[in-house]
This record gives sequence, structure tokens and C-alpha cells, in this order.
Amino acid sequence: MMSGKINMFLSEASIEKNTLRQGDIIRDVHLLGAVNLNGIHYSSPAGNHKELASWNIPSKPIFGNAMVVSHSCEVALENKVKVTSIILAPLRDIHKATAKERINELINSNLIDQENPSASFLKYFYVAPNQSLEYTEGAIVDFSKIFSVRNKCYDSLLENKVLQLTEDASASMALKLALYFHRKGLLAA
Amino acid sequence: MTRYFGQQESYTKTAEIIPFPLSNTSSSSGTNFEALLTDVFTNPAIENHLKGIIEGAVMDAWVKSHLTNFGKHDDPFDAIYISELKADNINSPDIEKISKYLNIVDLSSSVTFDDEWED
Repeated sequence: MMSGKINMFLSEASIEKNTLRQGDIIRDVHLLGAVNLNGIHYSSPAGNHKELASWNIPSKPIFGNAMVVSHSCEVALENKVKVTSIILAPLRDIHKATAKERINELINSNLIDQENPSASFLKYFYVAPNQSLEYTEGAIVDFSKIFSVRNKCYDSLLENKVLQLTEDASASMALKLALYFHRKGLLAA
Repeated sequence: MTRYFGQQESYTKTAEIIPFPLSNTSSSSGTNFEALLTDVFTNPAIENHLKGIIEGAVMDAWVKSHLTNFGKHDDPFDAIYISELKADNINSPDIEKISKYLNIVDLSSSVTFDDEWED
């Protein structure tokens, strides 16, 4: 089982500082996931609604940490020409979870049970506590609030990269992400 | 400059462009093509002149392809860029691995968070 006691991050010396990888954690990002489209204000100075000039969301911006969920091949420096955008998912403090009794189950669900894959917390990927992050009990990556930023943000994201997942941890995250979208699911009749 | 919704940002790049001469500036008497070629390959002045023309054309083409289209890849919705993409490899074991979990049940709704995301 992968738990908070197992180091899921590369050591500081092993972190690739010059490139983004799937599973990288970026600090202090303006988190744009789960935007309320109905709350966007558009402006058209010319009075022509077909020629919108700008838009804004009159609410407090959420800044926080995010994980790169783009495939490494998409964001690796050696393939930079391929990068059109970088996909990010926000981290949320696990201390604020409402069902404390299920946290250990959620943590252990980072490793999908390959022998008996019956159930898991597919929307969340657990991130263990680390001195580079403020979460004393760890955090979760929320796949339901994914967003992307343009490739011109690459360097600024790289500057704020603080952690890089190990290959195994990154693969576990990617499997959960894939299953979150791929599972058969149960639709209400 | 006003940018409109959906409009791609424009870039202004200055670069020295060596124009491709529209008229032949070299001179040659008569129609003796062989003599002209001999001149070209033996006269350093003509050789340098032609070299300048070719280098100018190459630089002009390079500037046009690299600088004037500098912002082309900046738009993630740019259809032209999509046409330049190469297909990603898909490994059968990856599909089998994912398909193995097709019926997995998601328990995520049993844990919620009391934070700024309001869900």
C-alpha cells in the first residue's frame, strides 16, 4: 500500500529543475478549475455584443498548489514544440475533508488493487505531507477541477515547481486519472 | 491595441530582411552563356555577389517562416497546429490494463471538502 509513510517524491537533488513532468507539484498557481460560467462578466465597449473585448469574474481568485497531469511526453522540455497547453489539477487540504473516518481508505486507494479492482476513490489522488507544502496531513489532487494554461506559462510554472513524483507514484496517479474518465459507471435510470 | 474575444495575439518582430533583387544587377555582354558561367565561377566579385543574393533569399525565407509566424503555436485552438501533430502511440497492454478496471466503482462522493471550492 502507498501511504503517507512512503516517500512518493523525488529527493530535492533529483528533481528535474529544467522541465515539467507529469506529477510535478507547482506552488501558488491561480486555480481556474470549476469556473462558474454564469458568473463571468463580459464587456463590449463598442456596444456590440458580438465583439466582446474583455471578461472578468467578480469574485475572489483562488490561489494554491496544483499538480501537472499532462502526460510527461506532452510537457517534457525535449518535446517542447509539442506543448500547446499544460493541464493542471488543484490540490486540496485533506484536513478539510468531511468524512475523517474514510481518509485512510482514500490514502490507500492511491494504489489500485490489481487483483480485485472493485472500488476506489477515483476522483482524488492522495499527496503525502512534505516540507515543501503547507498541508500537515497531506492533500488530495482533485481531478474534477482540472484546467489548462497556455504554453507561454511554461517557464513561470517551472519556476514554481517544488516537488516531483517518483515514477511509481506518477504512474499510480495517471492510472487513477485514466480510470476516473474510463470507468463504466452507474447512470441513474 | 484592443484584443477581441477569441482573437489571437499579434506580435511585432523587427529583423533585418535582405530583399531579393528583382532585377539582374550583373552585366554580361552578348548571349554567350558559357562565357557568363565562366565569369561566375572565376570572377570573385560575381561569385560574392551571387553568394549575397542566395544568402539574402535564405535569410528572407527563414525570417518569414520563423519570426513572422512566431505566435502561431500560441493558440491552443489553432487548427493549423493540430494539422502538424503526429499521432501518439497506443500500446495494447495499456488498453488491456485500463479495460481490466472498467467496472470499478467510484467512492469519491463519500468524501467531501469544506473549503473555498464550495462543493
